Amino acid sequence: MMAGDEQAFVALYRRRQGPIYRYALQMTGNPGFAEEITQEVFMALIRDLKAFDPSRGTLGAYLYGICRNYVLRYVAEESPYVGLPEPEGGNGFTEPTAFSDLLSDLAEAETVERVRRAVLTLPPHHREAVVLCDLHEMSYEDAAQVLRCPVGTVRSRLHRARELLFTKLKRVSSVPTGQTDSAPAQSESGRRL
Amino acid sequence: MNCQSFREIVHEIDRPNGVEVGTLDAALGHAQACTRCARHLHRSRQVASRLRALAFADESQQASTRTEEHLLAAFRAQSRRRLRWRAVAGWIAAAAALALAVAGGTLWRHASRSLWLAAHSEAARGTVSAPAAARSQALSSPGETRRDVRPSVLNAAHTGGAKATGRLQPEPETAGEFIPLPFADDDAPLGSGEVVRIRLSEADLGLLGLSVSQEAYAQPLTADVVIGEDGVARAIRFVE
Repeated sequence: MMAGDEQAFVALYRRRQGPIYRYALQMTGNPGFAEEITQEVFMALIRDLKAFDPSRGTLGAYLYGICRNYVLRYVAEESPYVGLPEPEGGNGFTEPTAFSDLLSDLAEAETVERVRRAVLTLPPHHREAVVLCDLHEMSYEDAAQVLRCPVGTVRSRLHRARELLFTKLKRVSSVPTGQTDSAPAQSESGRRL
Repeated sequence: MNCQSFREIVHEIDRPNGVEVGTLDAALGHAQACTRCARHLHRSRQVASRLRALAFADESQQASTRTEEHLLAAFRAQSRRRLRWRAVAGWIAAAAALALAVAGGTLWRHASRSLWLAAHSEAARGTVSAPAAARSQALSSPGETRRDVRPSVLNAAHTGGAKATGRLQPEPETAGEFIPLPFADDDAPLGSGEVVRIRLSEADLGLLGLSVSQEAYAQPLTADVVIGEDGVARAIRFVE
């Protein structure tokens, strides 16, 4: 690619653009901006191919790192937080019965959108931990390389992010559906995924 | 395992290689015994499940082909720029090398000319004494030492040299007029000088900045050279 091989660039782009685009989309919630960020990431690669040093990490981590810089700039400037409706009273989701409602909604696109919005309301550092480790199934080590922080920090951020997500999803799903919990804690705890 | 340590690893339980097997068994055992922790594990799994659903829904998301086209165009433009810059850099390097060669050649030419004149001056001083005597006589005349003595020197060298060299060269010789050398500074006064007889080779003619015909070029020439007190040759005349 450094020799100007167009096919090599196309192959690299097609292999890497999906994760980069999704990362930008899941972090910003804005498809247009995700598109723009993806373009900027690869433009940076085109402009200065020598900036990538294989001894310092993988190409994937390098591209994620560039993408992250753009995303954080966007987040700082635009603050695209999506407001979530506050619970309309009651604390129905504190009981296990509410989880069965969540499970019943899982297959629905609306639920996916709720989760997406909940992720978008997370603080940026927690959001990127969730996006990388959960949505992109990245290992803690790889995520730490992208986020430029220790593995322990990634782990703690992810832990905190999941707690926050649970709280946010609980609020969203607190509208009564008339269904009762059918997944007792004891039986769930014994299940291994 | 207690509730506190369980909560610390609850989100790692279902993660591949999240916790060690022993810790995992202990955690699951604790969840079976503790309702509160079982509930916590349950909701952790719910969140993980929802996140997986989101990841699955987004799996097909990717940038548009328009972005790929833009990037491809940018890549081509960048490649062209890079090639152009390489060509320009090559030309710059070639020009720099040429300039260095010219400068080096000029310096070498000046240095070798000075050396050559100095060497021939020393050689001629020992063999040609008459022109030097004539020159000394001309320069010792009152009122001529502090002015431009070139005409006197040239005249003396012309007349006296002819007489003196008659002893060294049995055959009569004819000498032309002195020609200022192209690189000599005509405006600088010639306080004192020396006329030396030399024989010029082909290369020497070029070093003096003179152009000669092909016939003359083929054979060595005899000439008188006026050398100033600064050691720089000022004028030359050819002797036949």
